[in-house]
Amino acid sequence: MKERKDLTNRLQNGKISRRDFIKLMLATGASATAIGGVLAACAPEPAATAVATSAATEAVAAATEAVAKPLSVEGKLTMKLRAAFMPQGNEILKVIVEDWGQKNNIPVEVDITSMNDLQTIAATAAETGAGPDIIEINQGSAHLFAEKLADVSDVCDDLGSRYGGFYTAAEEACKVNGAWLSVPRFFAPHAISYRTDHFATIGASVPKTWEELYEIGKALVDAGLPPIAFPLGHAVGDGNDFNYSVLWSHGASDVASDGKTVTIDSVETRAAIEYMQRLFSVMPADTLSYDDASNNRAFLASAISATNNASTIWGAARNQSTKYKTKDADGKEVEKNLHEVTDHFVYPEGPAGRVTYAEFMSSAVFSYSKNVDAAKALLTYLNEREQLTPWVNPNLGFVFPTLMGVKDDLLMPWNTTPKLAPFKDYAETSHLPGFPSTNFRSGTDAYAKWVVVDMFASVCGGLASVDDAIATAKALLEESYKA
Amino acid sequence: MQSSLRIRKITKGIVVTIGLLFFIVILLFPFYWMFITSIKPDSELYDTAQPPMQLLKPTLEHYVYLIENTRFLLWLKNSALVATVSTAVSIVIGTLAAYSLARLRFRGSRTLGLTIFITYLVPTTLIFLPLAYVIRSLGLFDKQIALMITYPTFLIPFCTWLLMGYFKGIPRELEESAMVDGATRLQALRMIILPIMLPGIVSAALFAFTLSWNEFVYALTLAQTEAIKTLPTGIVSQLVLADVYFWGSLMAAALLGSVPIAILYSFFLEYYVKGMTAGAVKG
Repeated sequence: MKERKDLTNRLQNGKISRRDFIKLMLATGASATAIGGVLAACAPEPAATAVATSAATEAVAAATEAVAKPLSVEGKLTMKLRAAFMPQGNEILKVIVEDWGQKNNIPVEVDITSMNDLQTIAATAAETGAGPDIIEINQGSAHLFAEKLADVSDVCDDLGSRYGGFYTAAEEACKVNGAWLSVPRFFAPHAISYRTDHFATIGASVPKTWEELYEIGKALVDAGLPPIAFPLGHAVGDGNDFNYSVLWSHGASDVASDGKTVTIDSVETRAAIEYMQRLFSVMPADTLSYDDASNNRAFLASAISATNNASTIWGAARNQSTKYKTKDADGKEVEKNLHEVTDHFVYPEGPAGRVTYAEFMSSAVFSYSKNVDAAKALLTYLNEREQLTPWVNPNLGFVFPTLMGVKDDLLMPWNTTPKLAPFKDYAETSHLPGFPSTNFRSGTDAYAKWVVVDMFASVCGGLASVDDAIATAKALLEESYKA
Repeated sequence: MQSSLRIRKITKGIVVTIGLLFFIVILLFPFYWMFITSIKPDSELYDTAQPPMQLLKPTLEHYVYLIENTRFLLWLKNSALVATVSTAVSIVIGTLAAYSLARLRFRGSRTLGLTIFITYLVPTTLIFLPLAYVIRSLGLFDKQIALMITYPTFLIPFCTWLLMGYFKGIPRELEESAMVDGATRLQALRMIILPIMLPGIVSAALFAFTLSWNEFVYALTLAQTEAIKTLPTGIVSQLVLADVYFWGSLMAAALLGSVPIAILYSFFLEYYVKGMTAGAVKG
């Protein structure tokens, strides 16, 4: 147990040589004996060890089979991946890919870049038929690029059968007309980041419902403490995540299950908007212009007490030793570590329970690629337990595997770090735009047009009445779902 | 009378100085902001209670991070190479095109000049996909030369349009005299017109270099491999990780990245001004 904790701490603090760690983790795939040894050293529960050992043994068998069939590529295998917020996590991912290339004698070029760049690169690849062999795409992009992507059903079926299947949202994003067109890679799970000291000052506990969250927001304002703040601007991740989650958890949706009938004009939508108006009354006005970085910046500056986000606020505060000012027992101003008073709680429930938006990435192989087989082999390798763990762990909860069977693995960050525990069940309640239908192509189109976010924002910002906002949203949604 | 002249002189001096100071502050403020952000520790960057212009504990940690943890120097070199080649190509072609359009009489020259200008106005976001398609067809996708070829598509119209104005400002009589004396058209251009045009060419080159240096969309789509990235795309890819922005290092990169441009301007500006004040038809 102690060894496991030490290892995790050293890794998350970047104090372990990444190559050493990779070697250690890759060694787990070298032989069943080695796997048993390492996991036994790490795991307190024999049952968990047995399950892990069994799964890993299967992985070794599959890997051995893969080695038997030599891979080859034309030129080199190129890939563009989304950067996670922890530099060491990105570095480890590079090392894993390069190690695979060396083992298989395949030149691999991996570039890890920002999400915004990836969208342009993927669009260019789809339109021109030129670009990297593998590109990480977000949300339901597989539906938009469907005609341009290689079928990767064999990879997904293999991984799914070995690791307990994929989460529903992963299927929603990657399965098009029954075929997997992109290999699910990770969720960037969201929760509410909050200041434990401010909540304690007003005597608030973790809210279970959106209504309770509003009450906390009001109490914070009344107490003169920094307010809660949720994005109502064009924040690709946080904005969509928050607004869709509020909409769905109020029982509303933009489309019916037939994927054609627009259902935004409903009693439930009105209830969601009414709630959002009240919530906005206890939030700063600049939330209307929040982008993805705005709430991070405000929280790190101690200007707000709670916001929805991935684990990046807490992680950045921890990495950069961000301070906040407070007073000690003698009334003297002192600086303390912000991450110590930052924690997370799961998205609250609405009248329809907890339904959340999935921030999601998958790895697509474009059909222009001349290296489809090698790309598939690499994607299989990357999503195996032995490679997932060393990559997921140092990312401090920012990446969450899409395979259901690895969530409980002992070295996953939500199992080693209590503050990350609220991220553990995010994927189970998450969906993609287009939910509750299966028309994710149109849902993705509507999401790209910011229909839901703008509907809420226009009312909160006083630009439109509830009726007008719904009418505008309805017209735009009908355009999307008609197409 | 003398004191009135003196007062007028002093007043003029004060007005000019205030005007200049105003513009200096406006123009230099972004650089000051970049600089102060780049040497502030994160604790001060996120402290909203601290006045933004105030700096308590300067640090070089953001510069160290930039140099040690990113490929900043390589991207700087790539930017310099791409910008230099594209500028050189564009200036040569742009000068010849501008001369033709300004001097030679042929049907449609006016329309052609206007079309070239309109080409410059087409936003890159509109044509990057067709251009990417062309580059792929040429087998140059994800190669540095792709940028050297595509940048002139907006630099040549720009240079042509700019230089046409300069050509029109030079009396035809100068080259006609040279041609009467036995020079060919090209000789007249090279030996008579171009030396006079030098200030204009320097201006066009400076602007073209700056446009290439700052270009983002083509660089993002056509040069995707880390080793051939230019500065604008490189720093964004490694200093914006998810929703975490490395503000200090981003500002350090922006500041260091603008140094070559600033040096170029300061070096050529003097030459440019000298050229402007020593025109061929100066009385």
